[in-house]
Amino acid sequence: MTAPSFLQTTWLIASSTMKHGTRDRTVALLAAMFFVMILIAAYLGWSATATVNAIYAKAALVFQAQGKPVPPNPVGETPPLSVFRNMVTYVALLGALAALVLGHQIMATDRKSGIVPLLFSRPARRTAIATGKISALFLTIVGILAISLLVNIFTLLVMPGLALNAGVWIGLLKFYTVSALYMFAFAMLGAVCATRFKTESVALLLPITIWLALTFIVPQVTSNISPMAALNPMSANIVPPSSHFFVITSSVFGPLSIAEAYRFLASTYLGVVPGAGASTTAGGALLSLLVTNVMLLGFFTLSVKNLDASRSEYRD
Amino acid sequence: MALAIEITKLTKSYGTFVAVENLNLQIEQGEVFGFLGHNGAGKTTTIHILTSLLAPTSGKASICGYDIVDQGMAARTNLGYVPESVRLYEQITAFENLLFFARLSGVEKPKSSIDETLMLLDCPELSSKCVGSMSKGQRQRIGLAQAILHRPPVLFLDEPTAGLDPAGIKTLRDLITKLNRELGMTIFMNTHLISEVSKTCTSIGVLSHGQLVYRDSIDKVMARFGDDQTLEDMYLSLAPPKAA
Amino acid sequence: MTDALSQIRVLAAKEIRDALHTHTITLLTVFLTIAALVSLSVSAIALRAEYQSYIEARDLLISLGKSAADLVPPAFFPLKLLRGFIEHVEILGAVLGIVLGYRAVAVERGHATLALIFTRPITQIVFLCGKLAGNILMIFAGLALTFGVGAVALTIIGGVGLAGNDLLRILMVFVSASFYVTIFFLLGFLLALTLKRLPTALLIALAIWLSLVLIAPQIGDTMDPDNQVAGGVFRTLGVPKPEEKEILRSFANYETIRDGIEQASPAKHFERLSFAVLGIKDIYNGQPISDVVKDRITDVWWLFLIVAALALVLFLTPLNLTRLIKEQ
Repeated sequence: MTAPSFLQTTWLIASSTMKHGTRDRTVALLAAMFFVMILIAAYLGWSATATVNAIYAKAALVFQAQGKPVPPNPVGETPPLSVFRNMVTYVALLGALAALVLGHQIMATDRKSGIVPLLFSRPARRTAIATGKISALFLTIVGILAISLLVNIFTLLVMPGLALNAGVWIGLLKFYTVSALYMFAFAMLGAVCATRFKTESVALLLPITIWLALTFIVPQVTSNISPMAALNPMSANIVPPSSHFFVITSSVFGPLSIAEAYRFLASTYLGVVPGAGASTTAGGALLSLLVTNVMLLGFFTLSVKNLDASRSEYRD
Repeated sequence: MALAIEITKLTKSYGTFVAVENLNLQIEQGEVFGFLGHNGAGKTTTIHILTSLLAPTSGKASICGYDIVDQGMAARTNLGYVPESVRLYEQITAFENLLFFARLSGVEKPKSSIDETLMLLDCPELSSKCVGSMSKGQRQRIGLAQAILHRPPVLFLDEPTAGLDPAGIKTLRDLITKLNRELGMTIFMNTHLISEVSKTCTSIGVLSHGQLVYRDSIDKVMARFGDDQTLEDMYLSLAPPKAA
Repeated sequence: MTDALSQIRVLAAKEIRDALHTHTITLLTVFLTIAALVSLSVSAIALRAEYQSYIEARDLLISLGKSAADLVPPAFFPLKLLRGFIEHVEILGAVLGIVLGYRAVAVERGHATLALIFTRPITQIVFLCGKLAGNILMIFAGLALTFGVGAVALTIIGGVGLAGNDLLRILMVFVSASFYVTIFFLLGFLLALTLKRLPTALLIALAIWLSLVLIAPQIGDTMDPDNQVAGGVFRTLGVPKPEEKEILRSFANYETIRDGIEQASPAKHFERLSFAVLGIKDIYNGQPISDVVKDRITDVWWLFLIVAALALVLFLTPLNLTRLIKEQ
């Protein structure tokens, strides 16, 4: 009997993890909620356009009655993808939280079910197991986002009055790429914490706390964006007050502030805000997201390698 | 022929606490070895090291001649492990669980191996049952199936009869004997139940406070201690538990 | 009766001891306090920067020989600095409530402790009362810490002592914050008690938190017809005011749905009430407390009624002891 190869183990772990994942009700619930929000975002986008069209039609009548020239319809002037501006908020909230829980589950399920000793006493390299888990997470997130992309493409095609060109489709793809990066970072964070901590409540609440801090507290420190305003994609355009304090905080915390980096990139790609933004640049923001992902990947692999399989079950 | 298990000067310590101390043990192929000791003697730690779940602090150990640290993959290919309380993926069926572990162990024809194994363990009807809805005894059997799918030469059982009812204990004993006689598996079994050992084992070792205090074949044990002394008396004289 | 009361006291005391030993509760309370403090300090720094810009602009105008009379100096209302503070209580306080509620059940479920408790001469009502009393006291204590630190920080940063009136306003917001957090505590507690699996309960509670606290207000905001185009639809088109009102009339149904979504969110009620009491919303700035409360009395009722409704559901739901005692 020969031990399975690295790739065979990776594939085996990835496929079985995904199979269990789809049967887990919590993950299914969060994914369903995410899809509902995607549909709502699409509806809101559609309804916004329809509302403006309706207002425009009525206003045109008013102008005609008064004998004034009719101005052009603002729908034609706005970037088509900006109808999806709510997506930025939903990916940052529900997308990130769902990814975090998904990442948590892929390790926590094994630890809770007491399967880790069985898994680690097989002739499988721990790095292959970690790679399998990472692949499963990646494929799941890409899968969820692919469905959401299809919903958005459909919405764009049925919406009247939008000027669709190659730039629109490229922008949409870019938006989904950074969304995948952002969600993947939180998935890895969830997985790292689920692997490292001894109790499940800490393993779940610590990454949630980090997520809360990144989403609501850091933007305030770096750019004086209040917590509720941090949800608004338009806040990517806010210029922090001219003060030494914000110059220092944005250069110290800026690179760590991946929530701001994501909001900036996503809002820019959707055309919600003009690209030349406040304190961030697209290159810097992308670098922040990439570096965070790579670091978490390494950290996760290391955590799996160092997991004490003889005491792998959570204490709570 | 290489020894099934060879342990040389094995030590595992956590800070100042020494769980296993300078353990030397050789187990021939085909033995059914009962590893006795009171709770906390270091039995499970030893099994965890031998199944490469835990790294030893010092010393060496090998399975079928493969070093557990330097040749971990080969060592693990040659062993199967059933933990004290068998835990598998609850939401899926026994068959799906077994398929997963068979592939992970590099079994070439996993499906036929599962069928054969379940037949061998007299429980083909469990195949399509969800693990979550199984009794303790049924889980134990699927756990055992999981460990022998790849027909490993060495099988580790950690307190195999814990929590089973008398009928379950009897069935499990028969299975252990069957695996040893029909498949020639070497079995390393942790237990603190003396009755267990006299019925199934060919040899025993007694661990006390991390140290091996006795090792002999079951026949010699019986001969040495005779009928006037029960196995329990013998065990308590060899490995007195620490005063509470 | 005295028996029941002393039983409640024993249960509540045990809850408090338990909660104090739970690191996550301490962590979240400290986190909330730090977040609130950071927000307060940052607001003050931003205000100072704004004031600095005003001084520079004014000096520039004067040096150019022009009048600086048109330049309005930034107004300083200490309580207005609490905007971010309130929003943190709104977001993080709700999470604290959910985690407290979850913990209160999680410590009992699957540990067979409930079996021990209910083999004592105790009724389910007494048991629930004890649990609620202990945890609600914890909520009060946690928020008292946050608000206390906030008030002290405001005094130091503002450089002026807070007037009695200001303190009364902060106290009122503290009480409504306690009610608000209690809503989420009851939600977490109820879900953890009734759902089949504990982790599912925590996640569903968090999903509800997301929808009520973060998503509903945001949807309400984006559905505002005038907000659909940056800068406002009507201003972009140059529609005069009277016509704007006429056109908007045909969107009345749309407006009802929008308002309905906002009303459904307890967060929005807490936010509207607090922003009014603290004068963060400009129309309430400088108004006497009695007028403000009279104007926002529906928000007070909403907060109170949601707490009452959840408590009622809790007391009317029979406990499924077999499930609660079963090992998880």
